[in-house]
Amino acid sequence: MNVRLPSWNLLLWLATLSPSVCAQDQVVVKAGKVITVTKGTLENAVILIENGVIREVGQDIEAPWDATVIDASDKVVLPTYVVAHTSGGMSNPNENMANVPYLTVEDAVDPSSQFFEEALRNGVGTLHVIPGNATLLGGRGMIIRPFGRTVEDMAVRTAAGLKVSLDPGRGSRMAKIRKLHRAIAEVREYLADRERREAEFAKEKEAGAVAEDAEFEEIDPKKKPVVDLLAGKATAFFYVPSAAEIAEALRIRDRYGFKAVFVLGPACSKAATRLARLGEPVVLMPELEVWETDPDTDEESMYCSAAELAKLSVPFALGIAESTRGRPTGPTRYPWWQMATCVRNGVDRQMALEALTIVPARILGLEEELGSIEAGKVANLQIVTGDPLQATTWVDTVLLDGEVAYQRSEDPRLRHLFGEAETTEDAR
Amino acid sequence: MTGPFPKDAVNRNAAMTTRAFLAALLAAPAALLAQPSGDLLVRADRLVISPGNELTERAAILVRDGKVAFLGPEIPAPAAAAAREMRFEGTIAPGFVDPHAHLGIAKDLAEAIDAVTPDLSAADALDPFDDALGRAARYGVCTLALAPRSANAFAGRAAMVRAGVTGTLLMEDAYLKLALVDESLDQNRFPTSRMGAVDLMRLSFARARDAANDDRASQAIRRTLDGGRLAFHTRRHAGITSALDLCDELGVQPLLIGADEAARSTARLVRTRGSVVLAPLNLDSPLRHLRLPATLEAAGVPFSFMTEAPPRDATAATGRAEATNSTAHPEALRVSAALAVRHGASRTTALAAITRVPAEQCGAADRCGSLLQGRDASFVVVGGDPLDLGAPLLAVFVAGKRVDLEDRGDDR
Amino acid sequence: MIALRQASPRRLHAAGPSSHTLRVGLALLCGLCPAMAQDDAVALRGATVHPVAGPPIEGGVVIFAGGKIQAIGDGQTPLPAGATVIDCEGAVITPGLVDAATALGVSSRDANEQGDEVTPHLHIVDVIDPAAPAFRRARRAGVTTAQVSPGNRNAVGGLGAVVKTRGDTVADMLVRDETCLRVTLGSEPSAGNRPIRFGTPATIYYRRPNTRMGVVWAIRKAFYDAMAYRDRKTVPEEGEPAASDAGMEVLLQALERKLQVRTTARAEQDIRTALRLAAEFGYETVVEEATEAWRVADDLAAAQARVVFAAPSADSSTDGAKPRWHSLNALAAADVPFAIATGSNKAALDLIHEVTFAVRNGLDRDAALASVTLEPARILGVAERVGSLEAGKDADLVVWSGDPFDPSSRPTRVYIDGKEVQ
Repeated sequence: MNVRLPSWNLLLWLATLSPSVCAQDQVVVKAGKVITVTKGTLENAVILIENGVIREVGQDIEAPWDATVIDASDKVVLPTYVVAHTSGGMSNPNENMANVPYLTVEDAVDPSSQFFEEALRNGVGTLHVIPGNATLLGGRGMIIRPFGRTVEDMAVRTAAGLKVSLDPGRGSRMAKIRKLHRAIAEVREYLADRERREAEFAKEKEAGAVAEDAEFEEIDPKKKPVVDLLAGKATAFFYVPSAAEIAEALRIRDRYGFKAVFVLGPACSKAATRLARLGEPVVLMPELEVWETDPDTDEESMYCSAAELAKLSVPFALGIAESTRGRPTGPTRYPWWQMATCVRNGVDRQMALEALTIVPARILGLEEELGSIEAGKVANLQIVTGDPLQATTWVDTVLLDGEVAYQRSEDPRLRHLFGEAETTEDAR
Repeated sequence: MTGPFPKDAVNRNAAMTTRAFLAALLAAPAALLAQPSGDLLVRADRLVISPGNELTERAAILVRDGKVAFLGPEIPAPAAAAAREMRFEGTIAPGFVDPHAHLGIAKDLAEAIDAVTPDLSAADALDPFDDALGRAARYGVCTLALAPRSANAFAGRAAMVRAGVTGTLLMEDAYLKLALVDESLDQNRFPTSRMGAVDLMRLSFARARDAANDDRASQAIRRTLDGGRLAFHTRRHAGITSALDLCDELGVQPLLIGADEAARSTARLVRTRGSVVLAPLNLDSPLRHLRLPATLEAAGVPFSFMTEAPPRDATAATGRAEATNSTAHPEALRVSAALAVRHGASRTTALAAITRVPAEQCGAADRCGSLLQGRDASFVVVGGDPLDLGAPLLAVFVAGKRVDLEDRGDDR
Repeated sequence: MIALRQASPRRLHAAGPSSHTLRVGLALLCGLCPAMAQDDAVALRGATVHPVAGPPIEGGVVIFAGGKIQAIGDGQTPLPAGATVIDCEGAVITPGLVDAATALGVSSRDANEQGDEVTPHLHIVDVIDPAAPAFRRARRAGVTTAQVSPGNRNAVGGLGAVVKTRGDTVADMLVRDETCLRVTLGSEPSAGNRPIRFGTPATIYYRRPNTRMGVVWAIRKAFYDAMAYRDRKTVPEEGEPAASDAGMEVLLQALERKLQVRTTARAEQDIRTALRLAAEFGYETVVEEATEAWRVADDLAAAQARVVFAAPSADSSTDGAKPRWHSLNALAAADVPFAIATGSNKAALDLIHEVTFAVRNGLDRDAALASVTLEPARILGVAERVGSLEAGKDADLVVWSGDPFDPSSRPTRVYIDGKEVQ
């Protein structure tokens, strides 16, 4: 699935059209250190960007005379983070009804949400926003960049994953699974019926009973996402709350033969051996450390889902916490915290870093464009003040498609939080 | 009087009493000699005098005036010859003792008038004709401590009662019961927190120690501190800790009722010679409760079982326990002891937990809990080992009187 | 004067020569006779040692025995014969962390007396559960000493205590009882109360105060009552001596500056009220939580108040107080002594991670480490025993896998009173 992204087409189109953006054409980032993710770490390297795409990365690259130079020689440059699954940035990510595959987050994403602002501030360049886990067939997600005033500005790709969730909500797990089977069976019946009617239609057309230019009916738009899923044209982002549901989720996937990315609750790591046989990367929910109390001894113990998976070399993508009541809270909203939590629990540093870059890019089918600093990839870069896993490191600048999308020195909310600017919020 | 005995036996009993009285009047030593008497001789295959002390040969017990007169080989031949004899194939064991019961009058024992009511006496609520007393006897529970419920921080004094169709008050001061459980904190008055309850207890003790305070509550507490027994009803470890701290301060031997989490305090309990009354065990009990008896035995902490199960959801902080009528089943003692054995406790300790230990905990070891000479002739006869649940209960004797096991009364 | 102890006859800390005294004695003995075989002596070698009381030592050595620190020094420090030597190359050693505001080992129900609004004489030590999983969690995260206080549902809640996070009994754990009197401002003490409208109150929850100002009124009334009580005691009316009142005695201790008042205040107005009340009654106060301290740093400095700042990682408003990321920087700049604590915030992280957030937001690293070691020890009045690595102090220390402020680091060993804990 290697679709050229519309925004870059737009950019290329703009570039050819208007001479005023020519100066932006070439950007050079002089970095003290480049963490390419896939090709190791380079000291004192230069990244040459052309038309929003990385053209070259290396130590002895001569910057073109007319290129815009960004001096980050005392800083660290790495690709922006990719979040493979989030329901942040929407005021209400869950529809009340369970079976709503025809919904799309395009209609719900709030470009002014603090969630996106926070994401960008913390170096996130790409997010797959998808309906929440409280529904059964929740609707379609979209891939966005957390920058822009309208959903269209932000869109990288619409009609991305389709949310399928086994979270039983208030009902029983059994009932939920039965409901899912029924919903899919309904679509299959519809397809069989439609096929039969289409054949009849073709016959009638041959017999001249209908007009020559008459078209057979379109697929019911309400059923289209599931039809696409069954035809292998869409990928399910399949939420599995705990280890108990993993076997069932795999059975459902195999029975209907659809493509699925498993989005796992923290307790799923108990089925790590089963997940290792899967051979595919999985997405972890933001909560990584789980405390358990032994009912017989009252002894508490903690395990880290990421560490359990890492022990069996199951590749995983990390999530970041969504906001509660519109405000981001808790440390799990910070990519650095999430990666450091992995390392603290014994995960290899590189694996932690990949879990927010190349692995989610692969999960989203964007590994040719995103997730590392390599020639030919989109110039989504973050310039940070030090080791990206340290708490004291701040994101200084974010480049999206080669353009500066964020600068810490001009971040009004940071100024507010550090008491450098009184705002209306204070007066309230 | 409609006892379980045949009519002639009753008559003979009455005759015996008169004759014994006359004999005593005439010549005291002669009364000890065997007259054609109302003595009762019960023989069996095995006699458990007290847990760990048993006879397997000449297992017999001679009952006179409701007391144990002679045991096994010590029974004088003339007395044996004169006594009415009963023979069973099975084991004679001391009647079971329940150290904390509310019987059928739980409502009457849940007085919540004030947080400090050490002068309340459960004896005042005793209904000698309570069906639950007869029921207890039919399951071998011959003696029990009737305790106030846990509505107040100072709940009141428990009374020792002999079970049977007609109950008898044995003594009024088994122990003074204090409560550090949710029920005592849910009474819509100070204290609502354990912190407040402990402080109130400490202040009340301090007040009672000052002889200038002559109110009834202080008197009652003072009596307890001068050689009486103090029992703390508490379940969670935190409450146990508070109770043990208070006992340390007061210099009294701790008696904990209900202490489900006592396993964590064994060292302290050993040091302070404390003991525990455990809630009954059943098949739904969590494993840590089932294993607790063995843990306590290994550590050397004496424990007993009671019939009262804690209110459902007792551990939930907000669970308000209602003072409903008791649902305790007297058979719970035997079942609990058997389950304790099933989970690692020794038979001797498990049997002691429903006989000797509860009697000691209630200060009634000279009356019940064992079949030593001079104790109440309250015993059970089981067709096998008392802790084998498959063994039927063949007979129960309360103070020498046989209980009619078939008279089910209101038993469910 | 009737002493506090008499009013509440406590044995916990008054009982004979405690094991603590014995331990001190043993430590002194060992210190005096270094030649003596020290079977339980432990030497940690090769780590970067942050004594807090002095500059960091690269490749340093920490020696302890009998539960007390014997010596710290550089790599040349002689090791006692027979000591267990543990190689800590690459690790970082800090004093055990001191959390100056916690509810460790107490349930909110146990610690919040709802029977009255003012309960100064209640002791939190009465309800601490030494086996609570929270203690294990805390010590495994490097917290070796913690202040536990009564809950904040009362205007005047009761007496707090400082405990070690390990021990079989509260007496074992206790470092110092009656460290402070907890007073809570803001809406919390009135939150559970319901206004009386019709008829007689049916439950204890129909009571005052119902408002923020009512809470202050309750506190003020308590102290005025205590002053009246003192007058009655000194000049008994008609020869009849006033009955001793445990609560009043505690308040008198505070009025005589023998007992610190710990005032929980989050919003700016509450912090100012805390300072105003302290000035009015002349007691010594430490402001706890202090979310909006950034607004009043200068006033805190002027009042010579100290602050126990709670959960710097939290950034959602509580009780009208707006957190800012520079709060601690502002306190540091104003020279207000402060400790960082986890406080009453249920979402608070492990203490070291809370400090990590403060460091992220610009707090000086040395000040940050002091704020969870020596500063809280001083505020709690236990600095002679804990808070820094110095010979003679309790051997409470944490060996970290790396820089403690690196979120990837974790404690690899934790010692309390010289014993490694799990």
